[in-house]
Amino acid sequence: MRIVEWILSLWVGVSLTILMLVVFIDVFMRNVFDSPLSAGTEITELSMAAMAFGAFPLLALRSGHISVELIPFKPGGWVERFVQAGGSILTAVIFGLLAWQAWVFSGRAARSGEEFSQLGLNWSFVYDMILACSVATVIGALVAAVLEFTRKAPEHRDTQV
Amino acid sequence: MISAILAFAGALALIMMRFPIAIALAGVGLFGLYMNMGLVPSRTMLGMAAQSSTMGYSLSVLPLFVLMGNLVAGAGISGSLFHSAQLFLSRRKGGLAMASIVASGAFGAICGSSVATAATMSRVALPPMRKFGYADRLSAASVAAGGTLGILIPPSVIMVVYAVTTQSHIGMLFAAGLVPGLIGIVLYIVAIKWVVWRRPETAPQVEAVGWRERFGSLSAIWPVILLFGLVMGGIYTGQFTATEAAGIGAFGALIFAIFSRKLTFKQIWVIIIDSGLVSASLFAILFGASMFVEFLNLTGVHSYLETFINDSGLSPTGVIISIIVIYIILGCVLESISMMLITVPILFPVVIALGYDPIWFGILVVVASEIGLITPPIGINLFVIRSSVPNLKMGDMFRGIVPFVAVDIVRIAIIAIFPGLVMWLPQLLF
Repeated sequence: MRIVEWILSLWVGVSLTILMLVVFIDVFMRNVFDSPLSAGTEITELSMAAMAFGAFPLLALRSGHISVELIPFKPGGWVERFVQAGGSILTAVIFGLLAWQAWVFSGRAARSGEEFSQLGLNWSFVYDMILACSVATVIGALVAAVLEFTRKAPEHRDTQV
Repeated sequence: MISAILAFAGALALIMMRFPIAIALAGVGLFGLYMNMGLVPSRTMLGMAAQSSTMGYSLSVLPLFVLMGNLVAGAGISGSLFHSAQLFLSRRKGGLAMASIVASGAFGAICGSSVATAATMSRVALPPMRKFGYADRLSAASVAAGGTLGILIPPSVIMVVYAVTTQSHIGMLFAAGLVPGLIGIVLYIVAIKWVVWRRPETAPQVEAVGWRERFGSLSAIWPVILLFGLVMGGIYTGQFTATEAAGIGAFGALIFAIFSRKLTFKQIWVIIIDSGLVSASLFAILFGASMFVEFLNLTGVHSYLETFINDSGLSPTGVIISIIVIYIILGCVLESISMMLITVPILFPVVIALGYDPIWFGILVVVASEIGLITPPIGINLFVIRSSVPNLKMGDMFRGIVPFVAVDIVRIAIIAIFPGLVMWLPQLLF
């Protein structure tokens, strides 16, 4: 499990670093050499999607989405476990449907040959990434749901506000 | 209309049960679309919402500003800001509390998040205030209130979200937030003066230092001035777009974090990953909210609302007052970005149809959201501070925050009555 978390963290960190560097280099090249980075906008969009979809499985696994702690539950009690597991299962359903749709989009893009205008990359590549990350999110959410009922003292790692 | 009300009730119920906000909104929206349109169209909308919420070029501002704020906060600049403000204000009664407000405002100039501002300032401002015998109800409340300045003084994450949702000009919104932010600082200081006047024992006198030492402390806060000047100066002079300015700011913050030598490379890497996760959480809320709003659009709630307002005979001012009240009430139980995402698409067309300026309305919404951040029972900033400071009684904080909420209501009234205060700077710059 830790290796998966490490790989996903690396993926998220690298994607955000690329995003920052691409925007910086693009501005620098435009202002200093009057020549913006080729396909800068498309790389920005791709790295943003990579960062977000790479983070979703990690957030699902850690129950790390933003939630509001308005009603106090007994820590580790059954009500809290049911609610946490319910949130994880709903996450799995939504991302399962998203994976299905990404698969449909991917097939459509592969058949039509739809490409990024500057990178020349087929859009099916993006949809395949969304598909893979959505499936990983489903697995992460289901693992989190199971862990809610199996661990003795559930950890509260969510970004509660 | 009934389905829209049911959707709101369902989403609120799930959120209050601690379901993740993004998942609650997406789940309710998806269910509503499925019941009205069937599986394939609702699933298609899900795919399109996921794509537009994570791949829009203008959205890249969000992770970059989050990263910039986190890197600078991690490098300990907040401590320097508070130290400098403390030296300038310590001779005044309640000076440390005032310093926390000024330092929060300055920190807001490089950090676009209210929660991050409150969390960071609580770590640097509360221990000295406790050390000098300040009452918790004053010190914690002033840090909580100061934290709200983070989303009004540019750059601001919530303003970016508003701009993306309403297709408004990000630079104009940032400029428009500056004067209300400064008014906020002044009014919070007035609130502290009032508290200290009423209860002098809440803020013991602190020994003042000489002018040489005061001005000497300014040398430690140059990165804030440089980054703010670079980012906002670039936007206002038309040199950079908001995205480019955010990229420059994040890169500048990275360079500062490396050369400050207060962070190891491993710590910087952890900050980058955390910033990515926080940004992805925000994207997830955008995704959930867009599904929710798709369903609300399908219910035709906008036309119902417009008909209702026309039939009710409410004046435009009455509509604005009603909207402010709705935001303050919602802000007590909802997180600010999700609150904005699910309400603005409905209320924005109504407000624009009444002839109000979208930039002015954006600032009004942000200030109303700010009030929600410090209003019990949720008052996110109050909980953030409580979680980072041991033995802090929630009751003390709730009592202490009242004067700050009161001046916030005065501020929103000023902004509503005098739109020129908001629009002056953006009209001057753009």
